[in-house]
Amino acid sequence: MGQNDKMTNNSDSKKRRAPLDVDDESDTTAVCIEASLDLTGFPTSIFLVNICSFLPLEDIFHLRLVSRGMKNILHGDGQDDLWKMVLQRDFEFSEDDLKDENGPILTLNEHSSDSLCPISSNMVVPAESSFDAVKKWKRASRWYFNGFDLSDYTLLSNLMQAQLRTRGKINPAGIAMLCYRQPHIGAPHFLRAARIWQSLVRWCEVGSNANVKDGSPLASAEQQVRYMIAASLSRVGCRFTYATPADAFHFLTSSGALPVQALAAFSRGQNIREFVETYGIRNGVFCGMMGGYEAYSYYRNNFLGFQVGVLRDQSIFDELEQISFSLVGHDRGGKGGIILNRESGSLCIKNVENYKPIRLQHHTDRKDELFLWLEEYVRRLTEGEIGVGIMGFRPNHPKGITLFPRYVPGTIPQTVNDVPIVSRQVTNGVEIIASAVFTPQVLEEFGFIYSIRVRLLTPDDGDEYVSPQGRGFETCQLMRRHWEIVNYVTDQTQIVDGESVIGMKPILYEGGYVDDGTDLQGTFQYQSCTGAMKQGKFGGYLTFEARSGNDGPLQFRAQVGYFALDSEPEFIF
Amino acid sequence: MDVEENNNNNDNTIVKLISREGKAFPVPLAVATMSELIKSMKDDDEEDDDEDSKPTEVPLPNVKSEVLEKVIEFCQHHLEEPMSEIEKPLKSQNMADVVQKWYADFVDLEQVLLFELILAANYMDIKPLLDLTCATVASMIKGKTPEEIRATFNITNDFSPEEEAQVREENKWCEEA
Repeated sequence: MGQNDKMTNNSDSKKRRAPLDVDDESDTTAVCIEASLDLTGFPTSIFLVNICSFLPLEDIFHLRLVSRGMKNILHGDGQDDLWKMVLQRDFEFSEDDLKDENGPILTLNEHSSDSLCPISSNMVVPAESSFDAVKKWKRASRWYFNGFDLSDYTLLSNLMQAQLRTRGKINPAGIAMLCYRQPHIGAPHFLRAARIWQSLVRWCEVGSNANVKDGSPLASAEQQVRYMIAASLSRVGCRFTYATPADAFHFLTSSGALPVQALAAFSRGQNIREFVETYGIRNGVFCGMMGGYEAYSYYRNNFLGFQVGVLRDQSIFDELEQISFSLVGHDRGGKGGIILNRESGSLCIKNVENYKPIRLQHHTDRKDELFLWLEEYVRRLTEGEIGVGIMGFRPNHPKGITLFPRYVPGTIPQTVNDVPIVSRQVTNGVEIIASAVFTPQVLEEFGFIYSIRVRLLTPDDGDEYVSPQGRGFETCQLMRRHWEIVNYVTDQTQIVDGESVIGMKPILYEGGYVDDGTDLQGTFQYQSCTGAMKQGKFGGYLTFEARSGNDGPLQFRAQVGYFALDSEPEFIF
Repeated sequence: MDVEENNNNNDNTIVKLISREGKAFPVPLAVATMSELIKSMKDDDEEDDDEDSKPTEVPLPNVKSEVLEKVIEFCQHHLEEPMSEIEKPLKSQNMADVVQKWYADFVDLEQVLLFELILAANYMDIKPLLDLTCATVASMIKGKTPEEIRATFNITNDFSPEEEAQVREENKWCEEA
């Protein structure tokens, strides 16, 4: 298409009368261009900057069809001011987005008939030119708002005018409704949503083997979980939907609803019911995109899935809430959901049993909480701060994304009150990594579930490895635990000292452990809960017993470094 | 109110605007300085500190008398009833829906005069007048088919049929869902 522009630019040299049948009175108009002022005779800047800025995009497109001269003005040499104006005015790009030094203008990969753009690892692509970007965003808008009934326009328009008068602000799509025959989408929101999907899909694809098919033996639990999560994602997006003009009005005027609209345009996320129908129930995998955790009978595994229309889910919302909330996630156990207040943009988790919604984020005045929340989640996932693990304590227990902060080699963990959110200590070749998650959703009172991961280092661990000769034993057995739980609020330290951990005394060897006579590979891990508390820290040591030759048992304490217990994290997942 | 005070301050100051034809239009300073061009010229003058009571003459060789008259009419009215900002893009083809009635009536003009007003507003740097006149041209384009736009502005379709088909195809592409 860019080629066409070039063709017509060169056409000056072969200036000729229009071959179309131009009627008699055109004698004067033919010379008009040179002789006196006409529409195409204005200085280009006046025409593009002053006149076109008042024109809805549809009319600018009509102008392109008027004449070759007019099209040349709209696309003249280096003339992308007009199209940049349109990108800013109609598609909400910022001036910065459009600066050449900030790289090409972004757009979406071609849309499909089912969604704004098929979710893939390559959703956001550079546009060839400003005009190309306008065309593609216009087309995307057309897809998204298709079927918007214009007979509702008068009522909608009146409602919005009233809203403008009383509140002075409606969201950009709403303003667009007032000005255009066809509303446009806010490109930056949709780009942000696309980047989130793109990152999640990329994460799922990392390390996945092209030969991996459903039912074939999977290389590893890691691969299996990523594969199952990818498979559970709906490939169908959601156009702008509404039941009545009042619904449409509500959506267009609630800027807190923008993120969910944008995300759902690409995919409706995970739908556990559809997923089970296709793949059957697989207890081996917890494929909640938003991950979870487990301890005793408490567990949580969150799916990311959208219901953007007017909610009919009685199990989570009462009637009043249906009007102003969208469901953006649900728990595998059906105990609750992640809900978005479309008015305020705030994100809560709501547990059906204890009912009270809990804010998932400490930003209080942002309309884009859902984006911020997901962007942080994607960051943690892609940077390895959270990842695939066992939702339980035995290797044969279900796998899924576990939310306990991980130790990322070569990085310094975040801290809360100078205490790291994840600790790692190595004593006599025994590595202990420990961290906790704040779990207001599952525990009766605010508290934490912590995770302790224990293993004997192997030669693969490099410099830190100590040989059996060096450490003085081949294997060692976990005998006792000693915890110091410091509560900053009461300024008290609770000491826990007891035999075993959750009734287990595993024997560690390099590469695995033996628990109750069963030989198991990998890291020994378990989870448990703290009592009700808010800010604090958790640490202590595990006592191990080792035997070497004919000597008596050797006892040593493997340190568990303090890790933070933070009841006010910036984000709760 | 502020405007009146300004007028009082400069009560005696009259500026003579000279059209292309050499005709002089005496106007109060407040009216003349709606034009950023004249305002910047006056600011330069003040440095001369010339207390000569003779009215300053401002030659405007690019502006015809007929056009200058309309410009002055606009500026005078603007001081009494400032024009409201015109929303972009236009939400109506009818200027009376987007701006006060006086201004909508003001731009109900022959095309040639309207175009000349645009050039004058641009040259004299009078932003509200440039907005008003350009919005008016836009309102004549808005909602029209390419054919109707050609008819309104007397533009010849000089596309070859192939070129036109290409542009049409490209436009259509954006409208496919």
